Amino acid sequence: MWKFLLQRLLLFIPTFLVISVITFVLIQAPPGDYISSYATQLEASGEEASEALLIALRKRYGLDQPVYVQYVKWLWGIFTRLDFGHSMQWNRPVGDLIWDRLAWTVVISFLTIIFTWILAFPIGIYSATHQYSGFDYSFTFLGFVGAGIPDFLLALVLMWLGFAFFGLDMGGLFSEAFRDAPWSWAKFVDMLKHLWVPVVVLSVSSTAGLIRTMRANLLDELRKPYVITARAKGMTEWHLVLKYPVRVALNPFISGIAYVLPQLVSGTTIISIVLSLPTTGPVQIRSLMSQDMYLAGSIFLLLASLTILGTFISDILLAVVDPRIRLE
Amino acid sequence: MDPGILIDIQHLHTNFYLREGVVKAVNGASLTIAKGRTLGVVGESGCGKSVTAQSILQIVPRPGRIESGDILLHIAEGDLDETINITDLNPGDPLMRDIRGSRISMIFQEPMTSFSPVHTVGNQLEETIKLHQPEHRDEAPTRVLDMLRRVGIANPERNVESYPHQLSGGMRQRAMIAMALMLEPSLLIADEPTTALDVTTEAQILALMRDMQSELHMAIMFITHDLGVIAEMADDVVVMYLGRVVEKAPVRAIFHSPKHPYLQALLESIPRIQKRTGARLQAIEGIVPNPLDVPPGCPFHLRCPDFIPGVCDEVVPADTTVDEGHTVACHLYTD
Repeated sequence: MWKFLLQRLLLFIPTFLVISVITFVLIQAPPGDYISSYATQLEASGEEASEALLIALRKRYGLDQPVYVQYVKWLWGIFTRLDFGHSMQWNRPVGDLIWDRLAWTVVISFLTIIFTWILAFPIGIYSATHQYSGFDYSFTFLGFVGAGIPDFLLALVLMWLGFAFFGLDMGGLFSEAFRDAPWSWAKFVDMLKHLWVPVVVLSVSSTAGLIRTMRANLLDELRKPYVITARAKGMTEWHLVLKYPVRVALNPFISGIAYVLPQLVSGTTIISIVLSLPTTGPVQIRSLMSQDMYLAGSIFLLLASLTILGTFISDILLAVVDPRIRLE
Repeated sequence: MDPGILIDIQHLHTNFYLREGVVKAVNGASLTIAKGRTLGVVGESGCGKSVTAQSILQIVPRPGRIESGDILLHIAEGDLDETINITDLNPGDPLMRDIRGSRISMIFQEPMTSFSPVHTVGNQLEETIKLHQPEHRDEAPTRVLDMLRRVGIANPERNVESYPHQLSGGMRQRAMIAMALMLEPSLLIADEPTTALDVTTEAQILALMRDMQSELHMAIMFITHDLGVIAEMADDVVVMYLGRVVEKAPVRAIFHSPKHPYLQALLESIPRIQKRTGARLQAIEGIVPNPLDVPPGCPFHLRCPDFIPGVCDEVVPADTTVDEGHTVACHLYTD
């Protein structure tokens, strides 16, 4: 078991390095750099971008050096000083820009996962154990509707409903009054009032998918002979369903955790723009458009790390839950 | 009820309600299981032998349901002497759950898939005690080790911590038997317990079952399609065809004076060592009818060499006693 975990942990390092290289290369791949898009911007606003200024800027940001030098410097900064470089667009260190946003992203994503699971597991289990019942059909229908509605549309509708009928401004995470106030109980309550909107919106489609998966997995497991064995032992129906088939049916979810994290983080982008949430999504899009490479690169790197971390967590959990995996 | 009888099944009907129609998996079967003896139930796939066993435990899978008939379970222990009609109980009835796993337990064909893959053997064996005798839960681990030793599992202390996939097929079936016998039931239902095993392991498992039977004085309902295994294991035999019992007899009579044309044909089709090599095996004419569309009269008449027109295809034959303890459902033997 420990050997297995250590193996996974060591694999973390080369995976991370490969991802960082690919990220850096991909961001550099489009022609031009931040300075050239900055020059276009200046020209568009009627100012003149002198050759001397551009050269000075390139030198200042190290853009005159070869790509691999830039890469090594950037990575070295991350590893030694946790310095993710300087955002040229915002003229601030990348770290200042993303840590807060990343924290909010993680909070929203985490709540969404929890909410999805709380909703999807019981419904999925009930649907499978009562296959083709009225309840099963209703949730199948609702599930497909939920999966079909684009989340940004749902967000817009919710915002409109809140505004039209309750006079609430549901954008952002705080009301006007609390936005810059220090943390207090009132501010926390105010946050909860806003937070449920993105959580619900983000949950809808993944809940629908999860219910379907849980139902299908469990239906497969319920037909397995070990369920009959348990029944023949004299277990009550709900006890045996929860102890045996549900336990086995959870495996695909646990291996799915790896993809849930990055999916939620990048999936929040459009919703964040619609609801003006302080997550990484909107910043990421702008940084890509202006070729603000250290900012874009850092966000991608963090997302990739989340995926690797998710894989690691799901590996551990799978090994805990399923003894057949431990014995590789 | 005869005190020597443990289970008395009368006119059992168990149906499966499918979209295509009703499958009468068990269609009026009657049979008895004597205390401490082995009843062999033979028949080809789909003849209703497994569903009969599932009906006894009320674990018929959906969309199947016991339609009518009686399954009487005779309980006599010390001062207690009562008869329970299992078909009167709901599958979820607490009394039914009490019976399952403690008075009647069951072992299955595939010991690999019949254990949960993600729980240790010990966990699954202890569960039987924890379910039925929660007051003895502290003794569960010792009793499990003891039982594993009795069924011949080497190194039980280590194997109790194993997961099913870490054991061999024969070991798994031994563990399965240990789990079923944990509470010393009065009936063990064995649904083709050796079909998935190789011949050597099969012989060991059969020997183990006989040993445990004489040790615990339990009855065994042994379901199989293998007449060789029946000859070795059974005291009494029931032959089933399309949901009906066509012949009941002590094991010797089954092999020495088979009466029903189906059983006669079945015995003819077994290859024999003494026979001339190169001779073709006898096969039964035709195929088993579609269970959704069972022919009227005797279920076997379409394939029967002794078919009597106007009788066999119209009237369902009743049980006729041909000898002591030997009955056959065939018009050839009615007066």
